[in-house]
Amino acid sequence: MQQASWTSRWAMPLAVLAGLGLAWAIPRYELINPYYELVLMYIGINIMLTVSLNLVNGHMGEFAVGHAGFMAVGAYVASVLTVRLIPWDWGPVLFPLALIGGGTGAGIVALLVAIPSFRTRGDYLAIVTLALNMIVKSVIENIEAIGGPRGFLGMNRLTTLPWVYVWVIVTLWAIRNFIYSNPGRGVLAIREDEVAAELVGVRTREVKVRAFILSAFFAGVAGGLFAHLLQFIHPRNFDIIKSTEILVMVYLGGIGSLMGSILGASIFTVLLEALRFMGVWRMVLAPLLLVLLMILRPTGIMGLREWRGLIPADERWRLGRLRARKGGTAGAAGD
Amino acid sequence: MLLEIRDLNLRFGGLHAVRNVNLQVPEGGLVGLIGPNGAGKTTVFNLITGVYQPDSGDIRFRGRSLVGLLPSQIVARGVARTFQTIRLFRDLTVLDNVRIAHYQRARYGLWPAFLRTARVLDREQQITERSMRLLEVFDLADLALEPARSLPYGAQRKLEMARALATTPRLLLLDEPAAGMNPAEVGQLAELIQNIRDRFGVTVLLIEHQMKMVMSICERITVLDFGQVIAEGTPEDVRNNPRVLEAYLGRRGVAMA
Repeated sequence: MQQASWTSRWAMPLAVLAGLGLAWAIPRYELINPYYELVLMYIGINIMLTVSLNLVNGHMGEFAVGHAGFMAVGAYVASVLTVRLIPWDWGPVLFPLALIGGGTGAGIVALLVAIPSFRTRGDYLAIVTLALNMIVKSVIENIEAIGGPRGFLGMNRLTTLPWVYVWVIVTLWAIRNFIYSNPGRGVLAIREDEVAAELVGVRTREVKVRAFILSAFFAGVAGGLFAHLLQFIHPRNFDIIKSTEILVMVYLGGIGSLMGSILGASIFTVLLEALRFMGVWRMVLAPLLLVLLMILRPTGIMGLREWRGLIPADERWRLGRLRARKGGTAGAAGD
Repeated sequence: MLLEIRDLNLRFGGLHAVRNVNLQVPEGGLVGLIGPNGAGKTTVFNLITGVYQPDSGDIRFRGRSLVGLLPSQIVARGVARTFQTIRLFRDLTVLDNVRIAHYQRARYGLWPAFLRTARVLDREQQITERSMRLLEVFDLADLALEPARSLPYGAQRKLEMARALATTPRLLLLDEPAAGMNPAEVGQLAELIQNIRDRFGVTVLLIEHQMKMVMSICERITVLDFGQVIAEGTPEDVRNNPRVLEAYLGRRGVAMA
């Protein structure tokens, strides 16, 4: 029994550590084709975007559609920081700070949107976030100092597989810990019934603002990673098409599920790469997939379920004990 | 008085839903709020809990006004409620329904939550244990890990009460807890409500259509009709009040009875 709980406690941390070793070794010893390495990094960035949007759309049950707007803010802020502010030699060392700067910028924008949208839900929030996406894009297009419509370049290729890996883990870890804690349970309550949530003491405004900011922060960091991978960013990288792709990844993988986000982002990214031969036609894929999903399986692959490994060990232990207790009195428990 | 409502008014457009309502609930009491359908009983609950804001009048709880506060702030002051139409967090487990109601009592912030510090683990364990104890009171502990939507109707009503009590209220507002229950269940419920009051030391304000239950467990009853208080007093007073009979049976009904 003791042994079983030990493996249950340490299996995930060890797997994460092994993954880090692999993420470090792949570029170091050129274990795989650089193209595959690039795809892996895209997957990582997309996981961050999907997990963060899923927090708002899946766990909280809102419908935000302009996630690329936050990504854009993060990408530009981080890029301006590394190109204009941070000395070239210091770039690799201070890269995490630049990314945090990008995330913070996106978080501030999210705060500005969250406050007036307190009372908006469903369709209205969709419109507000759609407008935000467009506003961010046109603001960038009109700032000459950061290249305006011509885009912004000069970033060093600071995004590497180990960095992407570390940030994916940080994102999953932070959002997981948030969801499985008191402040995060409020998020789930809002999805289920916002009025009832408020009436059992959940400060719904506070919860919403926090979830929006957290979501935008990691979208911003993902944007920063994206910018320092491509080394050239353009307002069109962050248009409504990009936002739609993130939505597809969320609804493909499954709403309200971390594992769903990982699956959705991975499957979609690989699919998009595999269908390169189709040229521009592959861009039809995202909207088409979204329509089909909404009709056939609106909750996605995982749909509100979670893989055990992504539940915090202490919570897993608690639920396990309750299940065992129940098994003792009322027969075998499922799962 | 624990709760004191003075000259409360609320209009929905042309409808004067609550008209000069006065209501007093003494500390430790079990007070009934009755009246025909559409009399404004639930509206009064919505005004007390901050779902609606009154046009005029005051609602004082433990001497302080609740008017203008957010529902979550009113919960923090010690008022909890259940709903006429059940409003559980349907897709979440029975346990999480109760744990969520600890939102204001968790005593740890956002940053410890991210880092999942020892304090967070400790508090989460305590919240879970306390939730389980509450579920035991309502015979729901064995269903803790089931989604709330899978519970039978009566159990869902009980879960709503457990969730409300998890906020440690001084005043519990029950909105038609016996709705949809059979006579045997109603009998058990009456007992349960009295037990809750004694065990948790809460004051209860009860909306109910089951006259027998209201008459048997409430110490005082206020009767609403068309948004107005038409009678107030002990069950005995109310039962014999001609205006109450008229409201329920109509003028001709009274003549026939």
